Order: sequence, then C-alpha cells, then structure tokens
Amino acid sequence: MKYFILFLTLLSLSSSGISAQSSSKAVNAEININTTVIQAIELVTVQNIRLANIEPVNNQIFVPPITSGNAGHIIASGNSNAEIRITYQSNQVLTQINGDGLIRVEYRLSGNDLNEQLTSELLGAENRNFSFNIDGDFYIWVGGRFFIEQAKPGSYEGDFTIEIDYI
Amino acid sequence: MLKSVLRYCLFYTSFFLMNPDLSAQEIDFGDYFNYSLSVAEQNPGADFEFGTIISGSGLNSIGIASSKVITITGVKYLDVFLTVTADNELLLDGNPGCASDPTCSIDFTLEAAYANRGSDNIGQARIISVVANSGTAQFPVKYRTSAPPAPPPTPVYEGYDPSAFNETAYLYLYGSLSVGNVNSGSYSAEIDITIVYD
Repeated sequence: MKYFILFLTLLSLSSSGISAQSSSKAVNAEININTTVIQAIELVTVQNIRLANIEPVNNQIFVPPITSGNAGHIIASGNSNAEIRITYQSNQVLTQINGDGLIRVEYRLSGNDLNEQLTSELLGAENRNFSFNIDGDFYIWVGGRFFIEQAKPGSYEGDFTIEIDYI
Repeated sequence: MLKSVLRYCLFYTSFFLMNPDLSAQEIDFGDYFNYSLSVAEQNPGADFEFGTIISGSGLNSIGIASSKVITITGVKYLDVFLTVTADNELLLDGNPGCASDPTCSIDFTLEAAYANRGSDNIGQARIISVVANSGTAQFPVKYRTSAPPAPPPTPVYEGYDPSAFNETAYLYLYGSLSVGNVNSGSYSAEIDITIVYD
C-alpha cells in the first residue's frame, strides 16, 4: 500500500510538468509576398528592308516606312495592353564587306498595334510611347533614306538598333 | 524476496515516469506573468516585394540586405520561441486554383535570420534554419553574453512595469523565387509568424 501511494505521487508529479510547457501568450503576424510578372519582349523580323529593286534619286534611296512594300517589318511581342516606349538609333553607316564602300543611313520607323502598315504612325522623337495590343503584339515597319554617294558595288553590312521598354 | 523485487520494479517505474519530466526542470519565466510581447513591421505597409520580374527569368533573389524587417519587442531577459512559415508558391491573383499549376504559380524559398543585440544590424544576424519554408528559433529578446548568468529576473512587485525592461529584436525575411514560363500578372503568398515567450 505504501508503494502504491508513492507510485501515484510520482505519476502526479510527472503529468504536472508537461502542462507547464504550454503557453497561450503567442503573438502572430502575417506578411504578404508580392511580385508582378511581365512577359519578355521579343522581336521577330518578318521582312528585311529590300533595296535592290529601287532606283536611286540624287544618290539616295528612299524607303518610306508607311507606304513602301520594301520596308522592313518587325513584330514585337510582350504583355498584352502594356505601355511601351520605343527608341532607335536613326543614323547608321553600312560598310562594304569586301571593300571600302559606305552607305549612310537615316532610318525611319512607323508603328501600329494593328498589322496595317498604311495606318501606322511615324515614330518621331516625341511620339514613341505606344501599347501592345490585347494579344501582346505591336507592329513596326522600318524604312529610311540611304545615301549611296560613297557606295561601290558589293555587299554591305551594318546594325540597326531598336529598344523597346515597358513604361 | 518478493518485497525486494517489488521495490526494485517500483524504482525503475519511478525512473521512467520521471524521465520525460526532465525538461520541466527549465523555468519558463514567461508563464508566470502577463509580460508584453509585440511583433510589427519595421516599414508598415511595405510588403515583401520582389518587384517586376520577367516570365521565365529563373531565380530571382532578395538577399538579407534587402529583407523585410520585422521587429519583436518584449522583455529583454526572456526567451522567445519563434515559428515562421511561408507558402511554397506565389499564386496568380492569390487564386488557390493555381496551386501547383506551372503556368500561374511561382516557387518560393524562404530564408530568415534574427538579430538580438539591440540594434537593426544584419551584420549581427543569426541565420534561422528553414526547411521546406518552415523554421523555428529560440533566443532571448536581448542577447546574453557568455559571461556568468545574470541574477534572476526582477520579481513582480507593486508598480512593476515590465515595459521598462523591454528590448527589440529583429527578424529578417528574405528568399528567392524560381520563375518559370508563367502568365503575366500579380502573384502573392503569405508568411506567418508566431512568437511566444518560452
């Protein structure tokens, strides 16, 4: 009987220690994590500028971006309806691949959120903010004035730099 | 003989009963008074914000230097037990239907650290082990040096103001997103923080 009482006493001591570890004084907080995902802007060249079948006038070849079927055509793709800013380097020089000929170029661009060249707007210095259409596309035509007084027969190469940023 | 065997059995029964009770030898001072404890954002209203990122851009990380800072204010000589748990994914518009959908969910990996030397200083921060976006840590609100133990806490007396003994510890939340080819839009998730006096 004496041991039984001792046993119960020990059992009682044991269980009281467990409850002492609980606490109801917790404080809580919730933090939000956020991000906004946009699509990368991609450029797809549909057509290069075609100069071969154009007759020069006063050593110049002019390709109007809005009206010429020889204008280059680029499709930019990104976030649907997102506002974008388009900038490009208008003055460039094309160099002859196997020779010392030069073609100076003044590029001119037009753009449209519809795939309609004739209703596209000229991209001027103060007219470069546009929007992707609902499908995330924007259409660009590339023309310009090509000065060929220093050109020699042959193949030429050069860069055209266009930059499109989300606003 | 039987009495001796009984006594022997009782001894070991007592030992096993007492053994799980060993942890109760620790005195949890926080259990004996309603000490104040609060948690707050250091910059309220500023979410844990990854900003604008490009779909398919892969790993996008926020380091501890740009972390979301949470303040924990409590009695400096008491230990707190902290639990931090984050969603495993950010979901497009918070839509639960996007869970595990690779087109509208972004995997999130939480990292966390705390500083308890009385100042918001990531140089003094200690990393919290976070596994599967859940981590725990136990630390005093104010760091105790390795010097001999200080005297026990001031007993409660009339006019006792526990806030006079308050100190602030800092919790740093940071981590990374693994951004696949997901749809455009706003993605969100939550981090839950629970802090209790030990």
